[in-house]
Amino acid sequence: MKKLLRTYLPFTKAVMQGFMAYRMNFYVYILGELFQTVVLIYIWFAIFSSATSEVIQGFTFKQMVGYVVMSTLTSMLIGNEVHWDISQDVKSGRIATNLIKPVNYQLLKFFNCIGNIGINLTFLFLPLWGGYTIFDFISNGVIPNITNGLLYLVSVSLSALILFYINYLFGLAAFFIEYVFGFIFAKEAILKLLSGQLIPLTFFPKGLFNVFKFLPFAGLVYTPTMIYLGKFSEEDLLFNLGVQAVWVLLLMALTQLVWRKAIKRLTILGG
Amino acid sequence: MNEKNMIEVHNLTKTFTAYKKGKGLAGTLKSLFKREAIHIEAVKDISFDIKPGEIIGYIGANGAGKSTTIKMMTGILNPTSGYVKVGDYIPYEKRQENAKHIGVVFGQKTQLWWDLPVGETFAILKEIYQVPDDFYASQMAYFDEIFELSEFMGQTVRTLSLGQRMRADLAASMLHNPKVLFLDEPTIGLDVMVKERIRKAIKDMNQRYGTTILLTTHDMSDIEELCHRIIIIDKGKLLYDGGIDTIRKEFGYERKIVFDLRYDDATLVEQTLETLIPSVDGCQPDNTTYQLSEGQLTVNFNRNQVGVSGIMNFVLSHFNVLDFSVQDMDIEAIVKRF
Ligand SMILES: Nc1ncnc2c1ncn2[C@@H]1O[C@H](COP(=O)(O)OP(=O)(O)OP(=O)(O)O)[C@@H](O)[C@H]1O
Ligand SMILES: [Mg+2]
Repeated sequence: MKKLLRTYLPFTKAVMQGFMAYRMNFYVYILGELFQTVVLIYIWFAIFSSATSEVIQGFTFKQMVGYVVMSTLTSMLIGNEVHWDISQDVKSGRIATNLIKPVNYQLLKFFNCIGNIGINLTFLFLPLWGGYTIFDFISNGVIPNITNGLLYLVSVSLSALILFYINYLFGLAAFFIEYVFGFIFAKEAILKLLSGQLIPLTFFPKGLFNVFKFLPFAGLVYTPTMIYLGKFSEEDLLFNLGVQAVWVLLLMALTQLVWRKAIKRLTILGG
Repeated sequence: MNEKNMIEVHNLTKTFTAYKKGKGLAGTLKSLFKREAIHIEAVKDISFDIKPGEIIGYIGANGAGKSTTIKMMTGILNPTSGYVKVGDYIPYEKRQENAKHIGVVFGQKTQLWWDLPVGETFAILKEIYQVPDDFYASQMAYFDEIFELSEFMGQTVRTLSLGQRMRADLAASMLHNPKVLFLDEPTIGLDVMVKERIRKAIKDMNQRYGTTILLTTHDMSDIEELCHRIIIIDKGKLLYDGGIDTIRKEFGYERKIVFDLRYDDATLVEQTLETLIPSVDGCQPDNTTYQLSEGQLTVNFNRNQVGVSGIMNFVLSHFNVLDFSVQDMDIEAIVKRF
């Protein structure tokens, strides 16, 4: 374990140091995300004011604000750059660096990903979450529930793993197709919808919801957010955490399979 | 010495398949449906064995297939047919295992992680190759002495100059005392001082640890100083495999003089040059060649049959010469003679 950390922790550090150089980009991007959050809250405000009942699909307006804030924060927290990095490595031929050495590329990218999450946590999640919690306490008298908070930590860790594997797979796509850009942008749009970042998945028609809740995307944002807000019954909680865990295992196996195929292709076609 | 071979290359062949891109809109559309395949035979049926402790110069003109061969030996490329064995492994079947025992430098592209500081790079390499503490310390001390690494230890790889980068790459390839070193153009683009240091390090490694070294270069003096045996390939085919002495005997008298000329009319210069072979003593079309490009006149000739003075006299009296230099014949010219 110590050896593992000594080997791969520098890759986490490099990402965090690199961040200092790009932080303006980062903040501009975040500003866009925050603007979207404000717009979403405003739309919900309009919907709730014109609705006949106080509660829509089990959400009051205040809970809905909580959902929008926590889902945005969750997706900010787990975000990583692994897919862009891998496609760069493949395009530039720098992938060879890792192939001529006895080094584990996936672990290396995983420690890069931890660097991304470390930045998200310190520079985004903690300050914004703190601000929101204080605001919620002052204006609504709400104190966050400790149990939900701890369960959220478990769930969001699984989310981070799922997103790591999804992005890793999209990165590996660069071995097979020339223009990954389009693919990655399409992926981001689909993720926004299916992960529950825009609206809680329960707002989809019953038939769709019953499909979506089994997909890995639900585990990215919807599950941890609902857990944080305490909106799951015990049964729902176990089911959704279970789905997350199963997807982590499935994706882990899938990445191994795709990696092997990717290397095979590379060594036949040439870098 | 151990009779077992360190490297075996048998009927090695690599054919790349590329696809023609259609010209214009119609061509692009057509190539979407029916792509025309072009086969590039980068390496054709090459065989040789290398014994432990040999330093081999693997040479050939641009595009001859040198890097392609090395990629197969390092396991990042599969042969189309034939096989390679390095130590106990078939590299492309046991890439990770093979990687533990080899060191690789591709002079054209760094093999270090782009955005890590040099110091951390070595700390990581120590871990992944499981280099013992005391050996690591002595290696780093040696590298620091010969490559002056501490000068840029804190910089990220991305910010290094070409010479610094190559020194770091070379040190990284040698850190774990590999059995085999693959050095693909380790002296490309470097000044004479750095080249000299690099050659010394290569020699040291070989003498101290009996490291087997395969080296490609376009610099004849690398070969002269380091290799006893050379393998020449051209257009993917093996041309020569043997001692450097034979080559020296055959081509050792080849000389090259490069003149920097000042002139206004290139055709006039060309016309005058046509009288060079008939008017200089001993010059024949088969022992003297010249070419003119962008103000540079290169004359290749055999010193045994043609006097340097004859050629110098001719050029100095007919043209405005700014500068000149006399060199041994280069590798490209030798390959052309085969
Ligand atoms: N991935 C690839 N796809 C298609 N063709 C390739 C590929 N890699 C190399 N080639 C071709 O194979 C031939 C041999 O290339 P290689 O890089 O081995 O030459 P080289 O001897 O190393 O030349 P240089 O001295 O310029 O480095 C060239 O014609 C090159 O264009
Ligand atoms: Mg090459």
